[in-house]
Amino acid sequence: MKKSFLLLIAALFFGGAAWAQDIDNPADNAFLDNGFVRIGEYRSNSRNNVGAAAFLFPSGEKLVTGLHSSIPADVFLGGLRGVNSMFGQINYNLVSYGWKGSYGFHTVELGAKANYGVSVPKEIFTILKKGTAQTPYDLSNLRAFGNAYAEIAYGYSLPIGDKFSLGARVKLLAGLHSVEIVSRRFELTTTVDQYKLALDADIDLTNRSKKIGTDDYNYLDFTSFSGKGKLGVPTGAGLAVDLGLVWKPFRGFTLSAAVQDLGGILWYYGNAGTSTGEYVFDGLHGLTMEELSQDKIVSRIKELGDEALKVIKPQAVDGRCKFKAVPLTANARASYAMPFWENLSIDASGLYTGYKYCAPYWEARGGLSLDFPSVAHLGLSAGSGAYGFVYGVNGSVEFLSFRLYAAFENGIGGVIPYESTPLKANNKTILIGLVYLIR
Amino acid sequence: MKKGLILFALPLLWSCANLDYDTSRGIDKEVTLFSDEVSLPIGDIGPITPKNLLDGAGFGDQLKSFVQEDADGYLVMERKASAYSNPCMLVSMNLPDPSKPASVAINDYSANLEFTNLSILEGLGIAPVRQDFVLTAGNPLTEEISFSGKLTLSAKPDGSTPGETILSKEFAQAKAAAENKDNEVLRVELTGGKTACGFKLENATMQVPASVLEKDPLQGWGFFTLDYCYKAFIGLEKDIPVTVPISINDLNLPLGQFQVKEAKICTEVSNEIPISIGIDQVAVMIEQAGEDGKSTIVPSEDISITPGLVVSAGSSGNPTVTPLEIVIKANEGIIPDIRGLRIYLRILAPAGVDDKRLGMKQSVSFNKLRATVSGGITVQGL
Repeated sequence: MKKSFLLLIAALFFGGAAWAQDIDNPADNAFLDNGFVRIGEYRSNSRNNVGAAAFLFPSGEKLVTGLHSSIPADVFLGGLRGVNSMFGQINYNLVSYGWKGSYGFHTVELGAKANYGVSVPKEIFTILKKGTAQTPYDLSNLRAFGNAYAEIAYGYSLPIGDKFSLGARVKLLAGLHSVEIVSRRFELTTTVDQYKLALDADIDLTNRSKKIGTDDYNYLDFTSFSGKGKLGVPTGAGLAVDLGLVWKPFRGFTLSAAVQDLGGILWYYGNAGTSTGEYVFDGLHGLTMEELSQDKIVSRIKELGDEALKVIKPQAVDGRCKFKAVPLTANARASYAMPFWENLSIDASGLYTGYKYCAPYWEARGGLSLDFPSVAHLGLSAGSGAYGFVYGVNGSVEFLSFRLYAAFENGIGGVIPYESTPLKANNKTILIGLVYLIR
Repeated sequence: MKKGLILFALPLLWSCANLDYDTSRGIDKEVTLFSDEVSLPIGDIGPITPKNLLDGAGFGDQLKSFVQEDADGYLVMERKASAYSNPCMLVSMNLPDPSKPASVAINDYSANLEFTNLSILEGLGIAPVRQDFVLTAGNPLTEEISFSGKLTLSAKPDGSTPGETILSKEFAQAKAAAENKDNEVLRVELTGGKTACGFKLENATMQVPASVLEKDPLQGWGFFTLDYCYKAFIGLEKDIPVTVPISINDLNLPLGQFQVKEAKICTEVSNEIPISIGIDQVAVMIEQAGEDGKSTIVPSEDISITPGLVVSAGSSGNPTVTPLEIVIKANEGIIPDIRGLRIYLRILAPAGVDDKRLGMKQSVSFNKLRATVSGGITVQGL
C-alpha cells in the first residue's frame, strides 16, 4: 500500500507537476494566520479549440495535410471549428508579500502577464479545400494579437465572522507592448462576374520599439524603421480588480467564488494603420488579340494587384489610443472534507474565461484532495470543458517554511512526439511557484 | 526502488505521444486546392474589329485592293462622277429670253457602274448587300432652282436594256438651295436584288430664274452641276468556303505543374459584325520533344476540347449576345503546359439580320470571360 502510494505520487510528479496554494481568490487569504512572501509564480495557459490532428493526417509512412487530395473535404473541414483559435497566456508573479493586519489580510504583488493568440475562420480552409462555390465568405474573425503588461496589486481580505470572508485586489496595469490585427469587416464575395473584397481592418502596434516608416503614399512600410527601441517603457495604463468571497457554512464545507481581471488597459498605439475599402476584381478588360501573351497578361495582372494592395495595405494613421479589456476569469469552488478523515476532501470547481479575441472557455471539474497541513497537499481532478475532457493534478510540499507548489492541467488526445503540440482541442495549464511562509 | 519508480512513470509520459503523428518522418507538402471547383473572372477580350479578323486571316491587304472604307466605317465599292456641268454664262446665252424664268434641258447621260473586281469577292461569298445611288446638284445662283428628270438603274453597263432594269425613278422639281454645291435631289437605296452595273439619266431639266447672270456672284463663271455617287456596301451573302485558323501564340500557361484535369472557359460573345462565326475546332498547342531532341509545338492529342456553338451575327448598334462554353479536358492524366491555342473558325453568312453591311467599326467582344477549374489544383510544397 505504501509503495503504491509513493509510486502514484512519483508518477504524478513525473507527469508534470504538483499542486499548491493558489492566488485565484483574494478572499482566501482572510483566514491565514501568518504572512507570506511569494518568491515567484509562473503560470502558463495554452488553449486551442482545434489540435494538430485537425490539420495533419497519417498516410502510410508519412503525414499529409488536410489539403492533400487523399483527405476528403468533409473529413478535413468537419474537424475544424467555425473559428479556429489558439490562445496563450503567461502570468509571472515576481514577488508578493502578505501580512495580517488588525482586521484583515493585506497583500502587495508585482507581476507581469502576456497574452497572445491567433484566430483563423473556417471559411479560409473551405475556400482552399473546396473552392469558391459558396459565397459570400465572412473572414472577419481572422485576427492575431499579442500584448504584455506589468501589474502592481494591492489586495485586502476581510473575515466576517469565522465563516465568511470577502476579498478585493486592485491592480495598476502598465502596458509594455501590444500588437493587434483585427478586422471589423472582411468579406469575400465571389460571383460569376467578379471577386469582391470588402475590408475594414486595423493594425495597431505600440511603438516603444522602432517606429515603422511609410512609403510615398503614406502606407505603412514594414521594411523601414526609424528611432531607437524602448522596450519596457509603458505604452499603456489601466486598472483591474479581483473580487472574491469565501463561505464556510459548516465544518469541513467551503464555498468560494472569484472574478479576476475585471478591467483593461488604455493603450497608445504609435504605429497604427487602417486598411479599408472595397476592391473588385472582374478580370482584365479590353484585352486585344496582341495582348494574349503571358508577359503582357502578367503585366496587366500586376497592375490589378497594385490596385488591390491599395485596399489591403494599411494606410498609416496618427497614433491612436484604444481601450482593451484584459482576459477575464471567473471561478467557483466547493470543497467538502470527509468527516471520517478531514485530510481527504471532495472538490467541485468551475471556470470561465472570456476574452474579446477568443472564443469563451469554460470547464467544470470534480476531484479529490489530500491535505496534510504543514507537510504536503495532493489534488486530482477531472471534468469537462469547452474543448472536451480535462484532468488535472496539483500538489505542494513544505520544508523549512518554504512551500513549493505546482499544478498540471490538460486534456486528452496526446501530442506530437518530441513536441508539445496537442493533437486535439486542448486546455493546458502549467503552474509552479514558491512561497516562504512567515511563522 | 528508484528504478521501479522511473519504469512506472515512463509509460505515463510516453502514452501522451501519438507515434502516428511523428513529424520527424516528414510531412508530404503536396496540397490540392479548390478540389470542388474554383472559378476566376478573366475579363474581357476585345472589341475586335473585322480588320483584326481579316488581318489575322491574311485577307486584310487583299480586301483593301477591292474595297474602301466610308466615313461611317462601312466597306464599300464606290463610283462618283459628274453627269452634267454648265457655266451660267452659257446657260444664259442659250435662253430665249434671259429676263424670264426658263426650263433648261440637260442632255441624257449614261455611265457604267460595274466593278471588275467584284466577281473575285463574290467567289468568297462577299457581295453588295445594299446599294445607294445619290444625285446631287450644284447651284451657283443666289436664288433657289429646281431639277427634274428620270433615273434608271440597270444590271447592264449602259443602263438602257429594258429587260435588265433594276429601278426606274422620276424626280420632279427637286429643290437646289442657293449657292450650294451638294443639294441632294435624288437618293435611291436598294437592299437585295441585282447589282447595278449602269445607270441612265433621261429627260432631265433645270428650272432657272430670270436674270441668271445677275444672280451669279461669279458673274457668269459659276457652274450648274449634277453629280452622282454610287455606293455598293458589301457584306457576306454566302458562307466562306474555307476554315480560318486563328492562332494565339505565346500563351505559355504553365498548367502542367498544377495537375489540372479539367478546365472550362465561359464567355458571352457580343457580336455586331453581320457574320456568324462557327467554332469548328480548337487545338491546344503543346511542346513536344522530337526524336532529334529538338522540341516542336504541336497540337495535343490527349486533350479534348468541346467547342461551343455558333456565334450569331449582329449588326452595327445591335449586337447579338451568344453564351459560349469551351471545356478543356485531359483524356488521360493531366493537362500539360499549354503554349498556345489554334482556333479554327468558319465564317458564315448572317441569318435573320436586316442590315448586312460589313463595317470596319463593327466589333466582336468576348465579355465576362471566366475560367473554371474542376477537380482541384495541385501544388507541391506550399
